[in-house]
Amino acid sequence: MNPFPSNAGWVNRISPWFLPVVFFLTWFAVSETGMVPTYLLPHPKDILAAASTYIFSEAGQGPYAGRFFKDLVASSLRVVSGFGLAASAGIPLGLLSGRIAAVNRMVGMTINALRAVPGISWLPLAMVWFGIGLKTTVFLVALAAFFPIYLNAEAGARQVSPILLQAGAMMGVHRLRGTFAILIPAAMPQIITGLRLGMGISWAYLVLGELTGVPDGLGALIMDARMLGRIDVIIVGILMIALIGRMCDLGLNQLLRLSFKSARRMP
Amino acid sequence: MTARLHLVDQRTEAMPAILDVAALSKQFSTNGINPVVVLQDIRFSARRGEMICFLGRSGCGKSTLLKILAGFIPPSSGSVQLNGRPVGRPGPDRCVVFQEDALFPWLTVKENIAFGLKGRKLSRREREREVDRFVSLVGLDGFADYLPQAISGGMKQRVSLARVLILQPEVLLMDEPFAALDAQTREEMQNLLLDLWKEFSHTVLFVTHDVNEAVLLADRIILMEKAPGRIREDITIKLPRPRKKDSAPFFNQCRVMMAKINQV
Repeated sequence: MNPFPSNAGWVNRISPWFLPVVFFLTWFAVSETGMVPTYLLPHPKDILAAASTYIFSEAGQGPYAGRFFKDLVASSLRVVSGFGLAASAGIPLGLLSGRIAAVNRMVGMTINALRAVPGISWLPLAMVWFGIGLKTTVFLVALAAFFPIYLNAEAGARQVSPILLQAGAMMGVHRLRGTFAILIPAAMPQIITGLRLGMGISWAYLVLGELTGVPDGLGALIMDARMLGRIDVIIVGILMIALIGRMCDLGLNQLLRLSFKSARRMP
Repeated sequence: MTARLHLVDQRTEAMPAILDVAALSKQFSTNGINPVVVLQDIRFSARRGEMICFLGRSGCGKSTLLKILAGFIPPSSGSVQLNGRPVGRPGPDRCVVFQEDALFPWLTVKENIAFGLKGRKLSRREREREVDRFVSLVGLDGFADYLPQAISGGMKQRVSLARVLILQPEVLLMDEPFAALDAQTREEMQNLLLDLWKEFSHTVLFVTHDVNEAVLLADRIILMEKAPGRIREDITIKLPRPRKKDSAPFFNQCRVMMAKINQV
């Protein structure tokens, strides 16, 4: 199947970095030639300097100096809370709705109607209800992450082969035990897809929530930098979110694989 | 060997019925106007330790009958009694071996076999010993830690057999379990089933459309006809065991059965 078996491991290890490196080199080349003015796209070394100030400098030594960890903690807390709420509502409700027609009839229409509302439409309402800060952001993140988690759990539960449930039943495994021993493991691939999509969306809505004028967080950083015309800081913020978002995705995957046999042994 | 088998035969003759099916019928209706009668007035009883094959062409309702006995679907009328009590929801007293792959793909061979034991009052060590014993009994030594995706169709059916036999069911329901296997593997599995049956002498209801298979396995063949699904004939197979597929009596018995099924 693999045409290059001898160096396959090596190629596989570096291939994820191919696109970022090409992207960075192009950026570097464009900046060196001066084709693009720096107020539109700063030189990579300026970005590096801004990032280093943002992450490592002592707080108070300059604008944005040393804010990183405070922002990271604030943003992570919001993402984790919102995502946690979404998962703890979305998975059980999705599984129920996928297996029990009555539940599906009862909640399906409402959920799909709400799903059609763009998340940003909730922002004004959330600000009125929850004010500015943690609660609004958590609300937006939870709301946005709920739908992919719910829909995938529902599809997963619906597609579980009835013969597996019958096999369980004839071995004396019914209802609650069957849910944990058969239904959830069998729906695991879709549940994981839903959680990963939900995690991605959580970061997107985090920035939306933090645009409202909260003092800390990565979204707040980007918004603040926009007001002051600090393109370099905006790019630092974007790169940080890309990095942390990817780490969250990996972490989520590892956590699931650690906790569930069915996640480890997914085909 | 023959003496012991003879004893088994006598014992089954004397045994009271373990399973009683009376006036059972099943109709499906898609629109409520034209119900399709799948099973009509099915009545038979099975004695403890008996091996009964349901033989019939596709569409005669033999699989539906097995699903009703297992408790997966309710009958439209009639009754099914196990040890004098009506059967309800599916349970480990009536275990099923399915035709298709029904193993849990996220569990290893060993874990699949142990699945039904989880709720029972057994110490961990007792459970492990029991699982190891059944892994050996179905000839899967060395494969205990494989996932289903890594083993062949025949081996999967060995696991399916082990995971239900370990629960000591009163009745074993088998729905064309070897139909999807190649000829050689099917023969191996038939012999394995006979060996296990000799050891545990559980009651087996075996659905098949293969005349050879039915004559090889059955104490009794219940011949079914279709539209509506009914019992046409209940035939006792008196061939001595172990039966040899290349012997003249076996061949004759198959011919007789073939003639009967062609009249259906």
